[in-house]
Amino acid sequence: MSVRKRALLLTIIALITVSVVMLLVPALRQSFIYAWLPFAAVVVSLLFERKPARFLALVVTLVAYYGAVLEVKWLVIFSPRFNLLIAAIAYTFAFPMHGLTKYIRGRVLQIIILLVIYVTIVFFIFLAMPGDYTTKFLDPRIMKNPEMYERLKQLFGVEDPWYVKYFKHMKNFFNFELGISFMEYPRPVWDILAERLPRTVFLFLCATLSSFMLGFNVGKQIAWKRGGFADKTATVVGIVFWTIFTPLFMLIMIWLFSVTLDLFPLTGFIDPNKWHGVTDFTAQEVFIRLLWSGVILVLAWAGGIALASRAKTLKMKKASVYGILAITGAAVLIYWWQSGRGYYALDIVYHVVLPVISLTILGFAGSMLVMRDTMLEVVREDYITTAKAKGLPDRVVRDKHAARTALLPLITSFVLGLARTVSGGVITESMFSWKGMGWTLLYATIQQDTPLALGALTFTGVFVLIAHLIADVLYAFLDPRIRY
Amino acid sequence: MSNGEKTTYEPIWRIRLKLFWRNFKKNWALFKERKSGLFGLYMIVGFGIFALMYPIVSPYLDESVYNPVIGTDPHVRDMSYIVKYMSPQNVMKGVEIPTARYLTYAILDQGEGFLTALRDALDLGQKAFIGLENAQAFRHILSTLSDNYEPRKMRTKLQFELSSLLSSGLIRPRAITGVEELTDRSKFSLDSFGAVTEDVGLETLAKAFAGVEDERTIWRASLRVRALYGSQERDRFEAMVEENRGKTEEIRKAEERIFESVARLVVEGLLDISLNIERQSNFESAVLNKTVDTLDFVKVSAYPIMRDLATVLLSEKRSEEFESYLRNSTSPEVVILADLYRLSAERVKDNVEGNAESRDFYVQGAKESLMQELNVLAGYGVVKSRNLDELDFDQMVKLVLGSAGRSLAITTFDFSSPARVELVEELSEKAPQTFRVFEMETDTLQERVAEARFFIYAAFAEAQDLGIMDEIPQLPLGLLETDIVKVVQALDVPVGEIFAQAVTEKEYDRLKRTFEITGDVNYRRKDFVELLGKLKGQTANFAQLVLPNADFSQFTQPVGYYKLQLMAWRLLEDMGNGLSRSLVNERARKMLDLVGDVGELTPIMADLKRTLEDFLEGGTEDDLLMTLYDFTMGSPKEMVSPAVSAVKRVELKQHEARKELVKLYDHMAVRSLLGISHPLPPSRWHWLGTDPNGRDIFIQLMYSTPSEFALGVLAAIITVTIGTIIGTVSAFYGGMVDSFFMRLADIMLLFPGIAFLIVLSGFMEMNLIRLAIVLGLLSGFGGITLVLKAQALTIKVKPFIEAARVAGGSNAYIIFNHIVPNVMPLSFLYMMFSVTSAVFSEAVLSFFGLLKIRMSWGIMINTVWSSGYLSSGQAIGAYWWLWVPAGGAITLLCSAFYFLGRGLEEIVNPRLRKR
Repeated sequence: MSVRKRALLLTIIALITVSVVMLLVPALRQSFIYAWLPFAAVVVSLLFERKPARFLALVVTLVAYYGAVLEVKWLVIFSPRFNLLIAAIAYTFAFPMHGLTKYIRGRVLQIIILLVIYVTIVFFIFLAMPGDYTTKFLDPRIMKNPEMYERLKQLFGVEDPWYVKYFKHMKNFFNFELGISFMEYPRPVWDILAERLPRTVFLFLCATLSSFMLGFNVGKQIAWKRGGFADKTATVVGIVFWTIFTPLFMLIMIWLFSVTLDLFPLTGFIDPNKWHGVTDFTAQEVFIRLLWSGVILVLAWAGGIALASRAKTLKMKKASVYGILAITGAAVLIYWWQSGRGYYALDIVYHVVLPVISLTILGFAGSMLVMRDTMLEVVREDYITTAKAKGLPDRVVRDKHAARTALLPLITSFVLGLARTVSGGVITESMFSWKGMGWTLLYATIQQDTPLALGALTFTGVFVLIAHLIADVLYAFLDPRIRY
Repeated sequence: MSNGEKTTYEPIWRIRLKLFWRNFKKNWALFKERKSGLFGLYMIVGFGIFALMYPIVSPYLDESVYNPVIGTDPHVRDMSYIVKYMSPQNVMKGVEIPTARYLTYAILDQGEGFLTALRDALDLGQKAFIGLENAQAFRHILSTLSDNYEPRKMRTKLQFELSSLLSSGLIRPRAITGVEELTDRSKFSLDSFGAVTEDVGLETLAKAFAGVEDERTIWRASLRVRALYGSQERDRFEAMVEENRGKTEEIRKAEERIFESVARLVVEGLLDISLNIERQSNFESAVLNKTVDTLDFVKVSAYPIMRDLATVLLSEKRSEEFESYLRNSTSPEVVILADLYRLSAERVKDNVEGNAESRDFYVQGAKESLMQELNVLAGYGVVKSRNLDELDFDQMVKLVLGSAGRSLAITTFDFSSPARVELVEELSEKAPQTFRVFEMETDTLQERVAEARFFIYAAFAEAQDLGIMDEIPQLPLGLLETDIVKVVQALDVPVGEIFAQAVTEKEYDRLKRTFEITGDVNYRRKDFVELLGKLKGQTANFAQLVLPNADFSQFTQPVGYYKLQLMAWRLLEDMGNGLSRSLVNERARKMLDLVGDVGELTPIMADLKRTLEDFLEGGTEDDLLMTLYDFTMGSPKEMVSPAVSAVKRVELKQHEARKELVKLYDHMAVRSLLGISHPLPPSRWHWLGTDPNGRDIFIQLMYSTPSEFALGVLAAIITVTIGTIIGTVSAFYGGMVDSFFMRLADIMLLFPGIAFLIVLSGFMEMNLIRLAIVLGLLSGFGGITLVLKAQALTIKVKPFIEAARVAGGSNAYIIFNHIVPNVMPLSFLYMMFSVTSAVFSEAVLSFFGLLKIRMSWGIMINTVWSSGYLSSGQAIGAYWWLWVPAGGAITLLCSAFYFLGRGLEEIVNPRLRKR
C-alpha cells in the first residue's frame, strides 16, 4: 500500500469518527449539516487532486448543498431533495475514481439525467392531452357555477403558462407530491404507489430471475447441439412463446393450472376468507417482509457465487453456493415460523406462483433465443476450438468457455428488454388482478384518473431506470473489459 | 458518338433488374434452405388470402346476421339449438306461447274481468304447482295472455290518441254526468273542485248535493269544503244540504248550473279533466254515459291513419285539395274528418318539411302502414285497389273510415253487452261507412275466436285421451272452474307432440337433465319432460295448427260451429239489451248463412235454422231468443265433439318433426319471443361460433385481418424509414448529430412502451392510423437506429464510398445511393420484427378497450373479457371459441412475421449460417 493510500485511509477514518461523534451529540448536529460535512468533503478531495475540473465539481457540490440546506431560491433546482442528489453525484466527480467505480459513477449521472428527461417527457405528454383536471371528475354542478369554477381553475393552476406548470410539476415530483387520486379519493397518489410498487417489484424480481436462469441454461444446451431435435423443438416453442399474444397465454395458463388442474387460485392478491379476523397486521406488512426475505435470499445466492469464485475445487464451489443458500433459507424459514405469520405469507406466495410461472415462461423464450444465437456465434471462435483441442471435457468447454462469453450479450439484451418486461407486467397484472403498478396504471387510465395515471407512468419509468442501473452494474461486474 | 458510330448500351435499369433477379435467385435458394422462414412466408400468404376473402364473401351473406359489428343471429337453426343451447325457460316459451296465444283468443270476447280472473287462477295454480310463494312456472302463459289481448292493446293506443285530440280541443267530452263526480279525486283535483265552487257559489253546490243519496259522497264533498274554506264553512255546507233535501226543482236547477259551469271551465282551460278509456270499464262507461260522442270515437280511431295519409299527401302536395274535398262532402261522417285532417297535417308537417333523408324515412313509414291497412280493407272489398297510387279521394276516405271501423271493432270486441249495443246503434246510425267495416272486422275476430276455441277443445280432447285431463271444461267459463294446472299441461300437449317425435333418445336424456338441474326452482317445469316421455311414439295431431300461419281452411265445419255458438251467444245478450230489429235481422241473416256452411245438421242446428228463417220472415223475437238460448247451452260433450272428430291422426316422421319444430322455434326467436343464449359454439352456420352479442366470430376474424395487416405494415414502414434515415445520417456525419440521435434512442429504449401507449390511448382518441404513426415514431427513433447505424458504419469505410466521393458525389448522393441500399436488407429484416410488435401492441390496446375502432382481433377478446366470460374459471374452458380464434390469429400473424424475419436474418447476416 502506498503512502498516499495509507494517508487517505487514516483521514477517512478520522473524518468518519468525528462525524459519528457530531451526529451523536445533539448540540453538534446542526453544525454537522452546515459546516462539517462540506468541510470533510473538501478535505477528502483536496487530498488527491488538483485538476481544475475536479474543483469545478467540488464547487457545484457545495453550491448545490448549501442551496438545498439554506433553501436559497435561485440555487434550488426543482426541490432541495433533488439538490442533495445532485450534490452527492457531483461530489463523486471531485476526486479520481478507477475501473468499476468510475463506470458506476458515470452510469448514475446518466440515469439521473435520463430521469429528469423522462419526467419531463411524461409531463409534456400529459400537457398535450385534451382537457385538464377541472374538466374531468368535476361535479357538473360546480361547472355551472362560474365563480366556483374560476376558483378551482386558479387552484389547479389551469391557466398558468406551460413553464410555470412544468416547474411546479418538477418541484412536486422531487418532493414526492404527486397529488390526490380521483379514483380513490382522498388517498394521495404517492401513498397508493408506495403500496403497489413493492408488489410489482416482487413479481418482477421472481419472474426475471427464474426466466433468466432458465433461458440461459436451455439456450446454451440447445446451441451446443445445434440442429438436434431438442434444438428444433425448443426454438419453435421459444418463438411461439415469444410471439404469443400475452392475454391469450395467460388465459391458457389460468385455464390449465387454475381450472383444469386446480392447483392455484384464479386471480387476486390474497384470499379474503383466510385473512378473516386478522386485525393486528395488514397484508401489505406481511408482503413487505416477504419481499425482504426474497431480497435476502437473492443476496445470499449472489454472495455464495462470489465466494465460490474464490474457491479452488468444484466441491468447494458447490458447497459454498448451496451452503450459504441453505443457511439463509433456513434462517428465513425459521423467522416466518417464529413470527406466526407464515400462514398468511404462504397465502400470498400461493397467489403469486401462477403469475410468476407465466411471466417466467414468457420471458424465458426471449433469453433462450438470444442465448442460442450468441452461443452459435461463440462456438465458431478459435479459442473454443483450442479448448476442444486441449482435450477439455465437452461440458467444461461449453460452460466455462463458451457460455461465459455468451452471457454478456444476453445481459445486454436483457437490459434492452427491461422495458418490454415491465410492459408485459402490465398485462400480467391485469389478467391476474394482481394489484401492482401495471394494474394501477391501466385502471387509472380507464377511469381517467389523471394524477394516478401520471404518477404510475412516471414510476413505471423510474422503476425501469433503476432496474437498468442495477443491470448495468451487474454487467460491469461480469465484463472484465469494464472492470479493469 | 463523335465518330458517328452508334453504339447501343444496355440501359441501366435493365442491368439493375438483371442484377436484382440474380441476387434474388441466390437469396431465395438460401432462404428456402431454412424451413422457418418459408413457414412464416406461407403463413403470411395464407393470412393475405384470408384478408382478401371478406370483400368477396360479404355480398353473399345476410347482412343482419353476419355483419361483423352490428349483425346478430337470432335464428334457431337446428334441433341442437333447442336441446343444447336454450335454457329450459326458453324451451317452455316455445312450447307454451303458441298455444297460450290460442287460449287468449278463445277468451277474447269475455272482457278484462275474465282475463284478470284467469290470470289470478293461473298465478294461484303456479304457486300450488311449485309449492313456493314466488313461483313463476306459468309465467309464459301469463305474459302471452297480456301480450295478445288485442282489445286492451288497442285501447292503450287509442287512449294516447284521445289525450292528444283532447289537448288540441278537437274533441269536447261531456265533462261530468252527475255532481257525484265532483268528489272523485281521479277526475277533480282539490283545485278544480275549488274552481267550480268559486264559480257557482257554495249555496248552489249544497243544493245540488242535496239530491245525492249516498252519505259517503256528501261526506267527501264536505271534507273538500273544509279543506278549502275551513270547518265553519263546512258546517254551513252540511246544514244547507240538509235544508234542501227533497226540493227537486231547485236541485235540478243547481245541477244544471254546475254542469254549465264545468263545461265552460273546461273550454276556457281552467279545468283539466282527464278522460280514461284504457280500461274496459272506463271505456264502457264513456260510451254508456255519452261522455264522448260516437263520432268523436270515430275521429280518435281515424287519427293514426289520418297522420299517415297526411304525410303522404303533403309530400305529394295534394294536402289542401283533400281537405277541401272532405269539407265539401255531403255525408256528416266525412265532414267531421276535415278538422281532423287539418290537425294531422299540422302535426306531421315538420316531419315532411325536414331534410330529404328524414322526409323519405317518414313518408316510407307512412306508406307502409297505409299499405297494410289497404290490404286488409281491399280483402274486405271496401276499397277497390290494393295500389296506393291508384286511390282517389273517395277511396281514401273509405280507407280512413275503414281503418277507424277496424280499430273500433278490435277495441270494443270484449265489451259487455249494454255498451256494445249502445255503440253499435249509434255507429250504424251516425257513421254507416265506419259501421260496415266495424261489422266485418268483428266478424273476422269472431272467426279467430272460433278457431282458437276449436284448437283448445281439440288440445283438451287429446289431453283427456292421454289421461292428463279428467273432464273437458266448457270454454270459456269452464276454465275457471277446472284445475288450472291440468289446463296448462293440456296446453303443452300440441307442441309437446311434435317435440316428442322430434327428439332422439339422447337428446331426450339431455333435455331431461337440463330441466331437472338448471334454472331457478321457481320456474321449474319437470312435468314437461315427463309429458314428453309419455308422448313418445304417439301421433302428432297438431303439427299444422301450432305452426306459424296456421291454416284452418280444412276445418271450416267445426270452426263454423264454434263461430255460430259465439254469434248466438252475443246475439242473445244484445237482444236482451235492446238491439234494434234491423240490426238483429242483419245478424240473423249472417247466422243463417253460416248454418248453411256448417254442413250436416244436428237436430238442434236444424231447429236453429228453421227459427232464423222464421224470424227473418217476420217471426217474433221471443221464439228466436228461446232457440238461441237452447243452442248456446249445449253440453260440454256436444261442444267438443266437432273438434275431436275433425282433427286427423297424422304420422309424423322424425326428420319432418324436427324440421317443423325448428321452424316453430325459429319463427318465435326471430320475433324476439324467445331468446337463444349466445355465444353459440362452432356449427355449420357459424364456423367458429358466435360471440356474446350473437355475432359470427369467423366473419369478425376475416373482417379484421386487412386492418391488422395495414396497421402492421404501415407502422413498420414508418419505423424503418425513420430508422434507416437516422441511422445512415448519424453514421455518415457522426459528431453532434450522431450523439444526439443515439442518446434519443437510449431514452426510447427505456420507455415502457405498452404502459406509455396505454396512457396515451386512454387520454387521447386513438384510431388505427394514429396508432400506426405513434408506434412508428416510437420504435423508429428507438433501438432500430442503433442497429442500422452500426451497419451503416461498416459500409461507410468501404472503398466504393471513397470512390464515389472522388467521383464528386455529394453527401446526400452518397447516403441515398450507396449507403442506404446497402443497409436496406437489414432494414427490411427489422421491418418484419416491427410488424410483429405493431400487431401485438394494437391487440393489447384494443384488448384493454382503449382504441376507438369498430372491430379488431383485440376487441374480439375484449368483448368476451368485459362480458365476464373469462372471469370465472369454468367459463374459460367451456367457451374456448370466444378467445382462442382471435388470440390464435394474433399469435400466428405475429409469429409468421417473426419466422420470416428469422429466415431473412440468416441471409442478411452470413455469420448465422450453419457451417
